[in-house]
Amino acid sequence: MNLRLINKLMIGVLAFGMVGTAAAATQEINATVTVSNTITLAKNSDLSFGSISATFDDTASSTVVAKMTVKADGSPSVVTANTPASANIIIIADGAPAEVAVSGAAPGQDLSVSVAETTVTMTDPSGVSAHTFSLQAFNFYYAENSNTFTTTTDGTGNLTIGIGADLVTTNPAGDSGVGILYDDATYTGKFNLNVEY
Amino acid sequence: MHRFLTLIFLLLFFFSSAKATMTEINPLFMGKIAVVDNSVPGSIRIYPNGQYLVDNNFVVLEEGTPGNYLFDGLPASTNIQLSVQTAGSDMQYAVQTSSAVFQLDPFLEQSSQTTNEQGELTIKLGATLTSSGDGIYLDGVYFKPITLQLDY
Repeated sequence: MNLRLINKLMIGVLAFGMVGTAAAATQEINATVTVSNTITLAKNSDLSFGSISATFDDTASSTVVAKMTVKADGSPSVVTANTPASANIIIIADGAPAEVAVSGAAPGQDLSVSVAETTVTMTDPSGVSAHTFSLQAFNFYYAENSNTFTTTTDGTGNLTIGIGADLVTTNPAGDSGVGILYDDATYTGKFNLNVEY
Repeated sequence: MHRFLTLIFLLLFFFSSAKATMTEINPLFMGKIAVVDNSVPGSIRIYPNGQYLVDNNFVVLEEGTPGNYLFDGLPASTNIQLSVQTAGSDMQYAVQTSSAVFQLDPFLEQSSQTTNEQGELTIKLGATLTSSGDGIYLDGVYFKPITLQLDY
């Protein structure tokens, strides 16, 4: 092989090399996004008004009521009644607020917290008593923020909600007088808590 | 001389058959989000430098990350033309089809880069995610295949 032939071969080889190195590479990758709209609620405890003795005003057209406020922060309940009390509530054993644990929400995010119902009628599900209470004026406490108004989740997206409310005597207006004793019974009602962004 | 030619052929064979391989340093992740308002379209944009911009239509549970990919096996100190392609822009829903869909438009940090002396190249990828403006987004993972092309 003489030098000229080698040169030709080299030129050919280099040309081949230039064509061979012009190339394209492709690679498929994935882009993702995760949607997590659902906020998880877990009821830790129900709202309880404890054990009480209650009377109501049954005078026709009377609007006199007594109410017991269970506070969402767990502090002692308060009774509001007229003096003299034609309707009254006496606490035998204090109640306790409901507690709901929120999880799976965005960290440090303000949430909207509300009860769907404005008023809930509490009745004796056994049907023994026809008397009723009214459940209203729900109040809240947010443990992570130690107050009644800041609904911001903690750094892991959790929020513990205390729920209190007013238990109010009703006026059946049977016109049998004032200070009528409620029947001994367990009165219950249900309400729905809404938590959303 | 034969040895010299053989060496040249072997080197050329090696370079022409060398295949670029990719290592995913970070996937392109648009975040973990809640869609709190889909009455109008909203967008999330991740820049290749990591800047993360989110409209009020979304609540962020976990911030996203730009894509970061290391290629090796490329020719050393060579200018590489980069491009991204997608088949349409709608993302796919991993669980079922009865959900509103997102659009995803990826973009590169640079349209061309030069490999280092080891034939390596790091490519960063951002994207804009846009919500539909109607319908309901079901919980789950939405994904979009993207093709990275390197021409050299």
